[in-house]
Amino acid sequence: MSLTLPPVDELGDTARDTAGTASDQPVNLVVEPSVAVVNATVKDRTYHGADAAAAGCLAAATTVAAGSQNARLQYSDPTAEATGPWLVVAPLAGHLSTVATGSGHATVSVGVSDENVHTRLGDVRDAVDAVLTAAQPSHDVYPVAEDDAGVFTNGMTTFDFNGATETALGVDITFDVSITPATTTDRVEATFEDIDAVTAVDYEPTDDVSVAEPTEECRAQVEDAVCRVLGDAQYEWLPGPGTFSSLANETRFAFGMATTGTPYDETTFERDVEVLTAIVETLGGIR
Amino acid sequence: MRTVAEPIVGSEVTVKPATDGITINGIPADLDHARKADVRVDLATDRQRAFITEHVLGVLGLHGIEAAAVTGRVSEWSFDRPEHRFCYAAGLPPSSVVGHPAGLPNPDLSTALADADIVGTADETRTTVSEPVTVTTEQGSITVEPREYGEGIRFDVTYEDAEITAEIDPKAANDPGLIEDITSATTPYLSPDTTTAVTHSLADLLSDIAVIGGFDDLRVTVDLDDSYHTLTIGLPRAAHERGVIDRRE
Repeated sequence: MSLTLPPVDELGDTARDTAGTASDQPVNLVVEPSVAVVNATVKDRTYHGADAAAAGCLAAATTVAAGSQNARLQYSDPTAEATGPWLVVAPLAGHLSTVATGSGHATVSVGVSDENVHTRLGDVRDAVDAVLTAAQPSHDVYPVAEDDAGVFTNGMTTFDFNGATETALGVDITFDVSITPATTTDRVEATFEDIDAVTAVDYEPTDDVSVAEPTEECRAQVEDAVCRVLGDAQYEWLPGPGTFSSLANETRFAFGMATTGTPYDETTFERDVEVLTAIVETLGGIR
Repeated sequence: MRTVAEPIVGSEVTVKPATDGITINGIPADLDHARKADVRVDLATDRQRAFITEHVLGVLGLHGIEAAAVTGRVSEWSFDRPEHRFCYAAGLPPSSVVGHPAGLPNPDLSTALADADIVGTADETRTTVSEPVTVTTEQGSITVEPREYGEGIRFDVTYEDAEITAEIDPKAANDPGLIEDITSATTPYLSPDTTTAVTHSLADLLSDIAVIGGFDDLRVTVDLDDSYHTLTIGLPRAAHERGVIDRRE
Protein backbone atom coordinates (compact mmCIF):
# COMPACT_ATOMS: atom_id res chain seq x y z
CA MET A 1 0.00 0.00 0.00
CA SER A 2 1.29 3.42 -0.90
CA LEU A 3 -0.70 6.40 0.32
CA THR A 4 -0.14 10.13 0.08
CA LEU A 5 -1.08 12.47 2.89
CA PRO A 6 -3.91 14.74 1.71
CA PRO A 7 -3.45 18.53 1.72
CA VAL A 8 -4.29 19.98 5.11
CA ASP A 9 -6.68 22.58 3.72
CA GLU A 10 -8.79 19.87 2.09
CA LEU A 11 -9.14 17.66 5.15
CA GLY A 12 -12.32 19.23 6.51
CA ASP A 13 -14.21 19.32 3.21
CA THR A 14 -13.17 15.79 2.31
CA ALA A 15 -14.26 14.54 5.72
CA ARG A 16 -17.64 16.25 5.39
CA ASP A 17 -18.15 14.79 1.92
CA THR A 18 -17.16 11.32 3.11
CA ALA A 19 -19.43 11.56 6.15
CA GLY A 20 -22.36 12.47 3.94
CA THR A 21 -22.02 9.49 1.61
CA ALA A 22 -21.81 6.58 4.03
CA SER A 23 -24.62 7.12 6.48
CA ASP A 24 -25.87 3.52 6.38
CA GLN A 25 -22.65 1.73 7.26
CA PRO A 26 -22.47 -0.17 10.54
CA VAL A 27 -19.25 1.04 12.22
CA ASN A 28 -19.14 4.63 13.45
CA LEU A 29 -15.76 6.23 12.90
CA VAL A 30 -15.01 9.50 14.66
CA VAL A 31 -11.93 11.61 15.27
CA GLU A 32 -10.85 12.91 18.65
CA PRO A 33 -10.22 15.73 19.08
CA SER A 34 -12.70 16.74 16.40
CA VAL A 35 -11.24 19.67 14.50
CA ALA A 36 -12.87 21.82 11.85
CA VAL A 37 -9.75 23.85 11.11
CA VAL A 38 -6.34 22.24 11.42
CA ASN A 39 -3.24 24.14 12.45
CA ALA A 40 -0.79 22.07 10.47
CA THR A 41 1.27 22.19 7.29
CA VAL A 42 2.65 19.56 4.94
CA LYS A 43 6.36 19.41 4.28
CA ASP A 44 8.41 16.48 3.05
CA ARG A 45 5.33 14.23 3.05
CA THR A 46 4.80 14.93 6.75
CA TYR A 47 2.29 16.96 8.73
CA HIS A 48 4.00 19.47 10.98
CA GLY A 49 2.64 21.93 13.53
CA ALA A 50 0.70 21.87 16.76
CA ASP A 51 -2.20 19.95 15.19
CA ALA A 52 -0.12 17.51 13.13
CA ALA A 53 -1.41 14.53 15.10
CA ALA A 54 -5.03 15.70 14.86
CA ALA A 55 -4.60 16.23 11.12
CA GLY A 56 -3.18 12.73 10.80
CA CYS A 57 -6.09 11.22 12.69
CA LEU A 58 -8.58 13.02 10.45
CA ALA A 59 -6.75 12.04 7.28
CA ALA A 60 -6.57 8.41 8.35
CA ALA A 61 -10.20 8.21 9.47
CA THR A 62 -11.42 9.82 6.24
CA THR A 63 -9.31 7.52 4.08
CA VAL A 64 -10.55 4.43 5.90
CA ALA A 65 -14.19 5.51 5.71
CA ALA A 66 -13.91 6.33 2.02
CA GLY A 67 -12.51 2.89 1.23
CA SER A 68 -14.63 0.71 3.49
CA GLN A 69 -18.09 -0.79 3.14
CA ASN A 70 -18.34 -0.89 6.93
CA ALA A 71 -17.27 2.56 8.12
CA ARG A 72 -19.57 5.51 8.70
CA LEU A 73 -17.51 8.65 9.33
CA GLN A 74 -19.11 10.91 11.92
CA TYR A 75 -17.79 14.39 11.14
CA SER A 76 -17.67 16.92 12.53
CA ASP A 77 -20.35 16.55 15.21
CA PRO A 78 -20.86 12.86 15.98
CA THR A 79 -24.38 11.60 16.56
CA ALA A 80 -23.76 9.94 19.91
CA GLU A 81 -26.95 7.92 19.81
CA ALA A 82 -26.10 6.31 16.46
CA THR A 83 -26.39 2.53 16.51
CA GLY A 84 -23.48 0.19 15.95
CA PRO A 85 -19.98 -0.01 17.34
CA TRP A 86 -17.71 3.03 17.54
CA LEU A 87 -14.07 3.44 16.66
CA VAL A 88 -12.54 6.70 17.88
CA VAL A 89 -9.39 7.74 16.06
CA ALA A 90 -7.19 9.51 18.58
CA PRO A 91 -3.47 10.24 18.99
CA LEU A 92 -2.68 7.14 21.05
CA ALA A 93 0.78 6.35 19.67
CA GLY A 94 -0.34 2.97 18.41
CA HIS A 95 -2.32 1.90 21.45
CA LEU A 96 -5.85 0.61 21.72
CA SER A 97 -8.04 2.19 24.37
CA THR A 98 -11.28 1.44 26.14
CA VAL A 99 -10.81 3.96 28.97
CA ALA A 100 -10.79 7.76 29.15
CA THR A 101 -9.83 9.58 32.30
CA GLY A 102 -12.35 11.92 33.88
CA SER A 103 -12.22 15.46 35.18
CA GLY A 104 -13.34 17.58 38.06
CA HIS A 105 -12.80 20.87 39.84
CA ALA A 106 -11.20 21.55 43.19
CA THR A 107 -11.18 24.76 45.18
CA VAL A 108 -8.64 25.06 47.95
CA SER A 109 -9.41 27.83 50.41
CA VAL A 110 -6.50 29.47 52.18
CA GLY A 111 -7.10 31.70 55.19
CA VAL A 112 -4.86 33.57 57.61
CA SER A 113 -6.07 35.61 60.56
CA ASP A 114 -3.17 37.96 61.25
CA GLU A 115 -4.46 41.54 61.04
CA ASN A 116 -1.04 43.04 60.33
CA VAL A 117 -1.39 43.58 56.61
CA HIS A 118 2.29 43.04 55.85
CA THR A 119 2.54 39.83 57.83
CA ARG A 120 -0.77 38.69 56.46
CA LEU A 121 0.29 39.17 52.86
CA GLY A 122 3.42 37.18 53.49
CA ASP A 123 1.49 34.39 55.15
CA VAL A 124 -1.01 34.23 52.30
CA ARG A 125 1.79 34.15 49.75
CA ASP A 126 3.49 31.32 51.64
CA ALA A 127 0.24 29.41 51.91
CA VAL A 128 -0.49 29.80 48.20
CA ASP A 129 3.02 28.60 47.38
CA ALA A 130 2.47 25.59 49.62
CA VAL A 131 -0.83 24.77 47.91
CA LEU A 132 0.68 25.07 44.43
CA THR A 133 3.60 22.88 45.48
CA ALA A 134 1.28 20.27 46.95
CA ALA A 135 -0.69 20.29 43.72
CA GLN A 136 2.35 19.26 41.70
CA PRO A 137 2.50 15.55 40.89
CA SER A 138 4.89 13.68 43.12
CA HIS A 139 5.97 10.09 43.52
CA ASP A 140 8.45 8.21 45.65
CA VAL A 141 9.98 6.37 42.70
CA TYR A 142 8.79 7.68 39.35
CA PRO A 143 10.15 10.89 37.75
CA VAL A 144 6.74 12.49 37.43
CA ALA A 145 8.04 16.07 37.39
CA GLU A 146 9.59 15.48 33.93
CA ASP A 147 6.80 13.22 32.72
CA ASP A 148 5.73 15.28 29.70
CA ALA A 149 4.55 12.15 27.87
CA GLY A 150 2.25 11.14 30.71
CA VAL A 151 3.91 7.76 31.19
CA PHE A 152 3.01 7.89 34.87
CA THR A 153 0.86 11.00 35.29
CA ASN A 154 -1.77 9.81 32.80
CA GLY A 155 -2.90 7.44 35.55
CA MET A 156 -2.58 9.84 38.47
CA THR A 157 -4.95 12.37 39.99
CA THR A 158 -3.40 15.62 38.80
CA PHE A 159 -4.17 19.28 39.43
CA ASP A 160 -3.91 22.01 36.80
CA PHE A 161 -3.99 25.56 38.22
CA ASN A 162 -7.08 27.35 36.96
CA GLY A 163 -7.13 30.61 38.93
CA ALA A 164 -7.19 32.38 42.28
CA THR A 165 -9.79 34.60 43.90
CA GLU A 166 -9.23 36.87 46.89
CA THR A 167 -11.54 36.23 49.83
CA ALA A 168 -12.10 37.98 53.16
CA LEU A 169 -9.59 35.76 54.93
CA GLY A 170 -7.22 34.86 52.11
CA VAL A 171 -7.48 33.23 48.69
CA ASP A 172 -9.50 30.54 46.97
CA ILE A 173 -7.30 28.62 44.54
CA THR A 174 -9.08 26.59 41.87
CA PHE A 175 -7.75 23.62 39.94
CA ASP A 176 -8.92 21.52 37.04
CA VAL A 177 -8.51 17.94 38.23
CA SER A 178 -7.76 14.93 36.05
CA ILE A 179 -9.31 11.91 37.71
CA THR A 180 -8.80 8.16 37.55
CA PRO A 181 -10.85 5.25 38.91
CA ALA A 182 -8.83 5.64 42.12
CA THR A 183 -9.71 9.31 42.66
CA THR A 184 -11.86 9.98 45.71
CA THR A 185 -12.84 13.08 47.64
CA ASP A 186 -10.74 11.88 50.58
CA ARG A 187 -7.67 11.53 48.38
CA VAL A 188 -8.15 14.98 46.87
CA GLU A 189 -8.52 16.51 50.34
CA ALA A 190 -5.49 14.59 51.57
CA THR A 191 -3.34 16.29 48.95
CA PHE A 192 -3.61 19.56 50.88
CA GLU A 193 -4.26 18.35 54.44
CA ASP A 194 -0.73 19.06 55.71
CA ILE A 195 -0.96 22.79 54.94
CA ASP A 196 -2.06 24.63 58.10
CA ALA A 197 -3.52 27.64 56.29
CA VAL A 198 -5.89 25.52 54.19
CA THR A 199 -9.35 25.98 55.66
CA ALA A 200 -11.38 23.97 53.17
CA VAL A 201 -11.07 21.79 50.07
CA ASP A 202 -14.11 21.60 47.84
CA TYR A 203 -13.89 18.89 45.19
CA GLU A 204 -16.51 18.12 42.59
CA PRO A 205 -16.15 15.58 39.77
CA THR A 206 -17.64 16.79 36.50
CA ASP A 207 -16.92 13.93 34.06
CA ASP A 208 -16.53 10.40 35.37
CA VAL A 209 -13.87 8.07 34.08
CA SER A 210 -15.37 6.41 31.01
CA VAL A 211 -14.86 2.66 30.62
CA ALA A 212 -16.18 0.73 27.63
CA GLU A 213 -17.11 -2.87 28.19
CA PRO A 214 -17.05 -4.73 24.88
CA THR A 215 -17.75 -8.43 24.92
CA GLU A 216 -14.79 -10.75 25.34
CA GLU A 217 -15.32 -12.04 21.81
CA CYS A 218 -15.35 -8.53 20.38
CA ARG A 219 -12.30 -7.47 22.36
CA ALA A 220 -10.38 -10.57 21.27
CA GLN A 221 -11.21 -10.01 17.62
CA VAL A 222 -10.22 -6.36 17.71
CA GLU A 223 -6.94 -7.24 19.44
CA ASP A 224 -6.32 -9.90 16.80
CA ALA A 225 -6.92 -7.33 14.07
CA VAL A 226 -4.34 -5.01 15.61
CA CYS A 227 -1.89 -7.87 16.13
CA ARG A 228 -2.12 -8.89 12.49
CA VAL A 229 -0.72 -5.51 11.49
CA LEU A 230 1.44 -4.41 14.42
CA GLY A 231 2.43 -7.78 15.91
CA ASP A 232 1.01 -6.86 19.31
CA ALA A 233 -2.03 -5.09 20.75
CA GLN A 234 -1.27 -2.72 23.60
CA TYR A 235 -3.55 -0.48 25.61
CA GLU A 236 -3.33 3.01 27.07
CA TRP A 237 -5.93 5.41 28.45
CA LEU A 238 -7.27 8.41 26.60
CA PRO A 239 -6.19 11.50 28.51
CA GLY A 240 -9.30 13.35 29.58
CA PRO A 241 -12.99 13.17 28.75
CA GLY A 242 -14.06 13.86 25.18
CA THR A 243 -15.94 12.26 22.33
CA PHE A 244 -15.13 8.76 23.54
CA SER A 245 -16.64 9.55 26.93
CA SER A 246 -19.80 10.95 25.39
CA LEU A 247 -20.67 7.71 23.59
CA ALA A 248 -23.09 5.39 25.33
CA ASN A 249 -22.41 2.25 23.32
CA GLU A 250 -20.29 -0.27 25.22
CA THR A 251 -18.76 -1.54 21.98
CA ARG A 252 -16.35 1.30 21.50
CA PHE A 253 -12.62 1.38 21.03
CA ALA A 254 -10.09 4.09 20.40
CA PHE A 255 -6.94 3.68 18.35
CA GLY A 256 -4.45 5.84 16.51
CA MET A 257 -0.79 5.80 15.50
CA ALA A 258 -0.28 9.56 15.94
CA THR A 259 1.49 11.08 18.93
CA THR A 260 0.43 14.50 20.15
CA GLY A 261 3.18 17.07 19.69
CA THR A 262 5.12 15.17 17.07
CA PRO A 263 5.01 15.25 13.25
CA TYR A 264 2.85 12.74 11.38
CA ASP A 265 4.52 11.19 8.35
CA GLU A 266 3.28 9.00 5.52
CA THR A 267 4.64 5.83 7.05
CA THR A 268 2.56 6.52 10.16
CA PHE A 269 -0.41 7.37 7.93
CA GLU A 270 -0.17 4.12 6.00
CA ARG A 271 0.12 2.09 9.18
CA ASP A 272 -2.81 3.97 10.71
CA VAL A 273 -5.01 3.27 7.70
CA GLU A 274 -3.98 -0.38 7.70
CA VAL A 275 -4.78 -0.95 11.37
CA LEU A 276 -7.96 1.11 11.37
CA THR A 277 -9.21 -0.75 8.32
CA ALA A 278 -8.53 -4.07 10.03
CA ILE A 279 -10.45 -2.95 13.13
CA VAL A 280 -13.35 -1.55 11.11
CA GLU A 281 -13.72 -4.72 9.09
CA THR A 282 -13.60 -6.76 12.30
CA LEU A 283 -16.21 -4.63 14.06
CA GLY A 284 -18.36 -4.64 10.92
CA GLY A 285 -18.27 -8.43 10.85
CA ILE A 286 -19.24 -8.76 14.51
CA ARG A 287 -22.49 -6.78 14.29
CA MET B 1 15.41 -29.66 36.55
CA ARG B 2 16.18 -27.40 39.49
CA THR B 3 13.03 -26.09 41.15
CA VAL B 4 11.81 -24.98 44.57
CA ALA B 5 10.78 -27.71 46.99
CA GLU B 6 7.89 -25.66 48.37
CA PRO B 7 6.00 -22.56 47.23
CA ILE B 8 7.79 -19.31 48.07
CA VAL B 9 6.61 -15.72 47.97
CA GLY B 10 8.24 -12.61 46.55
CA SER B 11 6.85 -9.10 46.63
CA GLU B 12 4.82 -9.43 43.43
CA VAL B 13 4.73 -13.18 42.81
CA THR B 14 4.39 -16.66 44.23
CA VAL B 15 6.74 -19.32 42.88
CA LYS B 16 5.64 -22.93 43.02
CA PRO B 17 7.48 -26.15 42.14
CA ALA B 18 7.26 -27.35 38.54
CA THR B 19 8.77 -30.11 36.46
CA ASP B 20 9.12 -28.71 32.97
CA GLY B 21 10.28 -25.16 32.41
CA ILE B 22 9.10 -21.82 33.74
CA THR B 23 5.64 -20.33 33.34
CA ILE B 24 4.24 -17.00 34.52
CA ASN B 25 0.49 -16.93 35.05
CA GLY B 26 0.43 -20.11 33.01
CA ILE B 27 2.31 -18.63 30.04
CA PRO B 28 5.55 -20.40 29.05
CA ALA B 29 8.67 -18.25 29.35
CA ASP B 30 10.01 -18.74 25.84
CA LEU B 31 10.58 -16.83 22.62
CA ASP B 32 7.24 -17.92 21.16
CA HIS B 33 5.41 -16.07 23.94
CA ALA B 34 7.67 -13.02 24.30
CA ARG B 35 5.87 -9.80 23.35
CA LYS B 36 6.62 -6.09 23.28
CA ALA B 37 10.34 -6.37 24.11
CA ASP B 38 11.46 -2.76 24.16
CA VAL B 39 11.32 -1.05 27.56
CA ARG B 40 10.07 -4.31 29.08
CA VAL B 41 9.34 -7.91 28.10
CA ASP B 42 5.83 -9.34 28.37
CA LEU B 43 4.75 -12.92 27.91
CA ALA B 44 1.42 -13.38 26.18
CA THR B 45 -1.09 -15.82 24.79
CA ASP B 46 -4.33 -14.91 23.08
CA ARG B 47 -6.06 -13.55 26.20
CA GLN B 48 -3.43 -13.76 28.92
CA ARG B 49 -0.46 -11.51 29.46
CA ALA B 50 2.27 -11.19 32.07
CA PHE B 51 4.02 -7.81 32.27
CA ILE B 52 7.65 -6.92 33.04
CA THR B 53 8.64 -10.54 33.28
CA GLU B 54 12.37 -9.83 33.24
CA HIS B 55 12.20 -8.73 36.86
CA VAL B 56 11.15 -12.26 37.82
CA LEU B 57 12.91 -14.37 35.21
CA GLY B 58 16.26 -12.68 35.77
CA VAL B 59 16.07 -13.55 39.47
CA LEU B 60 15.14 -17.16 38.73
CA GLY B 61 18.11 -17.36 36.38
CA LEU B 62 20.47 -15.94 38.99
CA HIS B 63 19.43 -18.72 41.37
CA GLY B 64 19.62 -21.39 38.69
CA ILE B 65 15.90 -22.19 38.77
CA GLU B 66 14.95 -24.06 35.60
CA ALA B 67 11.36 -25.02 36.39
CA ALA B 68 8.77 -22.98 38.25
CA ALA B 69 5.12 -22.01 38.12
CA VAL B 70 5.06 -18.29 38.82
CA THR B 71 1.81 -16.48 39.55
CA GLY B 72 1.24 -12.79 40.12
CA ARG B 73 -0.17 -11.84 43.52
CA VAL B 74 -0.91 -8.12 43.22
CA SER B 75 -4.56 -7.37 43.87
CA GLU B 76 -4.67 -3.57 44.00
CA TRP B 77 -4.46 -1.18 41.09
CA SER B 78 -1.56 1.25 40.74
CA PHE B 79 -2.67 3.40 37.85
CA ASP B 80 0.53 5.42 37.84
CA ARG B 81 2.05 2.31 36.29
CA PRO B 82 1.30 2.09 32.54
CA GLU B 83 1.09 -1.70 32.78
CA HIS B 84 -1.75 -1.42 35.29
CA ARG B 85 -3.60 0.98 32.98
CA PHE B 86 -3.08 -1.53 30.16
CA CYS B 87 -4.63 -4.28 32.30
CA TYR B 88 -7.56 -2.13 33.41
CA ALA B 89 -8.34 -1.23 29.79
CA ALA B 90 -7.86 -4.78 28.52
CA GLY B 91 -9.98 -6.47 31.17
CA LEU B 92 -6.99 -8.18 32.79
CA PRO B 93 -6.39 -8.40 36.56
CA PRO B 94 -3.59 -6.42 38.28
CA SER B 95 -1.89 -9.73 39.09
CA SER B 96 -0.88 -9.79 35.42
CA VAL B 97 1.84 -7.27 36.31
CA VAL B 98 4.72 -9.20 37.89
CA GLY B 99 7.42 -6.54 37.61
CA HIS B 100 8.63 -4.77 40.72
CA PRO B 101 7.05 -1.30 41.21
CA ALA B 102 10.43 0.31 41.93
CA GLY B 103 12.07 -1.25 38.89
CA LEU B 104 14.12 -3.80 40.80
CA PRO B 105 14.84 -7.42 39.93
CA ASN B 106 12.58 -8.65 42.70
CA PRO B 107 14.85 -8.55 45.77
CA ASP B 108 12.25 -10.17 48.06
CA LEU B 109 11.98 -13.11 45.70
CA SER B 110 15.77 -13.36 45.55
CA THR B 111 16.02 -13.45 49.34
CA ALA B 112 13.31 -16.09 49.52
CA LEU B 113 15.07 -18.19 46.88
CA ALA B 114 18.36 -17.92 48.74
CA ASP B 115 16.65 -19.34 51.82
CA ALA B 116 14.59 -21.91 49.93
CA ASP B 117 15.23 -25.61 49.55
CA ILE B 118 16.10 -26.16 45.88
CA VAL B 119 15.48 -29.68 44.61
CA GLY B 120 16.18 -31.57 41.38
CA THR B 121 19.29 -31.74 39.28
CA ALA B 122 20.22 -29.41 36.49
CA ASP B 123 19.14 -30.42 33.01
CA GLU B 124 22.24 -31.89 31.36
CA THR B 125 21.33 -30.46 27.99
CA ARG B 126 23.13 -27.13 27.63
CA THR B 127 22.80 -24.74 24.71
CA THR B 128 25.25 -22.47 22.96
CA VAL B 129 25.68 -21.13 19.43
CA SER B 130 27.61 -22.97 16.75
CA GLU B 131 29.06 -19.70 15.47
CA PRO B 132 29.11 -16.06 16.54
CA VAL B 133 25.94 -14.02 16.07
CA THR B 134 25.75 -10.23 16.07
CA VAL B 135 22.63 -8.09 16.14
CA THR B 136 22.78 -4.32 15.83
CA THR B 137 19.82 -1.98 16.26
CA GLU B 138 19.26 1.62 17.25
CA GLN B 139 19.40 0.35 20.83
CA GLY B 140 22.99 -0.86 20.54
CA SER B 141 24.87 -3.95 19.48
CA ILE B 142 25.17 -7.46 20.87
CA THR B 143 27.44 -10.34 19.92
CA VAL B 144 27.32 -13.87 21.27
CA GLU B 145 30.04 -16.44 20.78
CA PRO B 146 30.21 -20.18 21.54
CA ARG B 147 31.47 -21.34 24.90
CA GLU B 148 32.46 -24.75 26.17
CA TYR B 149 29.93 -27.09 27.78
CA GLY B 150 29.23 -26.07 31.39
CA GLU B 151 31.11 -22.78 31.32
CA GLY B 152 27.95 -20.68 31.78
CA ILE B 153 27.55 -17.18 30.40
CA ARG B 154 30.17 -14.47 30.50
CA PHE B 155 28.70 -11.01 30.13
CA ASP B 156 30.77 -8.01 29.06
CA VAL B 157 28.29 -5.16 29.15
CA THR B 158 28.60 -1.48 28.34
CA TYR B 159 25.79 0.98 29.12
CA GLU B 160 26.72 4.52 28.14
CA ASP B 161 29.90 5.23 30.14
CA ALA B 162 29.56 2.26 32.52
CA GLU B 163 30.90 -1.27 32.08
CA ILE B 164 30.45 -4.52 33.94
CA THR B 165 31.66 -8.09 33.54
CA ALA B 166 30.00 -11.08 35.16
CA GLU B 167 30.02 -14.88 35.02
CA ILE B 168 26.58 -16.41 35.54
CA ASP B 169 25.40 -20.00 35.13
CA PRO B 170 21.61 -20.06 34.61
CA LYS B 171 21.51 -23.70 35.71
CA ALA B 172 23.33 -23.32 39.02
CA ALA B 173 23.40 -21.19 42.15
CA ASN B 174 25.51 -18.09 41.56
CA ASP B 175 27.66 -15.76 43.66
CA PRO B 176 25.44 -14.31 46.44
CA GLY B 177 27.31 -11.00 46.36
CA LEU B 178 26.71 -10.61 42.65
CA ILE B 179 23.05 -11.49 43.12
CA GLU B 180 22.72 -8.89 45.86
CA ASP B 181 24.29 -6.23 43.66
CA ILE B 182 22.02 -7.02 40.73
CA THR B 183 18.75 -7.31 42.64
CA SER B 184 19.33 -3.96 44.38
CA ALA B 185 19.99 -2.11 41.11
CA THR B 186 17.07 -0.19 39.58
CA THR B 187 16.05 -0.35 35.95
CA PRO B 188 17.91 2.14 33.70
CA TYR B 189 14.83 4.37 33.30
CA LEU B 190 14.80 4.94 37.06
CA SER B 191 18.49 4.54 37.82
CA PRO B 192 20.37 7.37 39.53
CA ASP B 193 23.54 6.60 37.53
CA THR B 194 24.85 4.44 34.72
CA THR B 195 26.71 2.10 37.09
CA THR B 196 23.39 1.13 38.64
CA ALA B 197 21.84 0.80 35.20
CA VAL B 198 24.53 -1.48 33.83
CA THR B 199 24.35 -3.64 36.95
CA HIS B 200 20.59 -3.97 36.55
CA SER B 201 21.02 -4.89 32.90
CA LEU B 202 22.61 -8.20 33.92
CA ALA B 203 19.22 -9.39 35.22
CA ASP B 204 17.56 -8.31 31.98
CA LEU B 205 20.21 -9.96 29.84
CA LEU B 206 20.00 -13.18 31.81
CA SER B 207 16.21 -13.18 31.51
CA ASP B 208 16.18 -12.48 27.77
CA ILE B 209 19.14 -14.56 26.61
CA ALA B 210 19.21 -17.45 29.07
CA VAL B 211 15.72 -17.95 30.50
CA ILE B 212 13.58 -16.89 27.53
CA GLY B 213 16.27 -17.38 24.88
CA GLY B 214 17.31 -20.79 26.18
CA PHE B 215 21.11 -20.35 26.20
CA ASP B 216 23.40 -21.68 28.94
CA ASP B 217 26.95 -21.35 27.67
CA LEU B 218 27.88 -18.17 25.83
CA ARG B 219 30.19 -15.23 25.72
CA VAL B 220 28.02 -12.13 25.44
CA THR B 221 29.49 -8.77 24.47
CA VAL B 222 26.91 -6.03 24.43
CA ASP B 223 26.71 -2.26 24.12
CA LEU B 224 23.31 -1.14 25.39
CA ASP B 225 21.19 1.97 25.05
CA ASP B 226 17.60 2.77 26.01
CA SER B 227 14.79 0.29 25.35
CA TYR B 228 17.36 -2.44 24.90
CA HIS B 229 15.06 -5.45 25.09
CA THR B 230 14.53 -5.06 21.35
CA LEU B 231 18.17 -6.00 21.09
CA THR B 232 18.43 -8.58 23.84
CA ILE B 233 15.32 -10.53 22.80
CA GLY B 234 16.29 -9.97 19.17
CA LEU B 235 19.58 -11.81 19.61
CA PRO B 236 18.19 -15.25 20.53
CA ARG B 237 15.51 -14.81 17.88
CA ALA B 238 18.22 -14.12 15.31
CA ALA B 239 20.21 -17.16 16.44
CA HIS B 240 17.18 -19.39 15.97
CA GLU B 241 16.39 -17.87 12.57
CA ARG B 242 19.96 -18.47 11.41
CA GLY B 243 19.91 -22.08 12.63
CA VAL B 244 23.01 -21.77 14.82
CA ILE B 245 21.59 -23.29 18.00
CA ASP B 246 23.93 -25.95 19.41
CA ARG B 247 22.45 -28.23 22.10
CA ARG B 248 24.89 -30.54 23.85
CA GLU B 249 24.85 -33.13 26.62
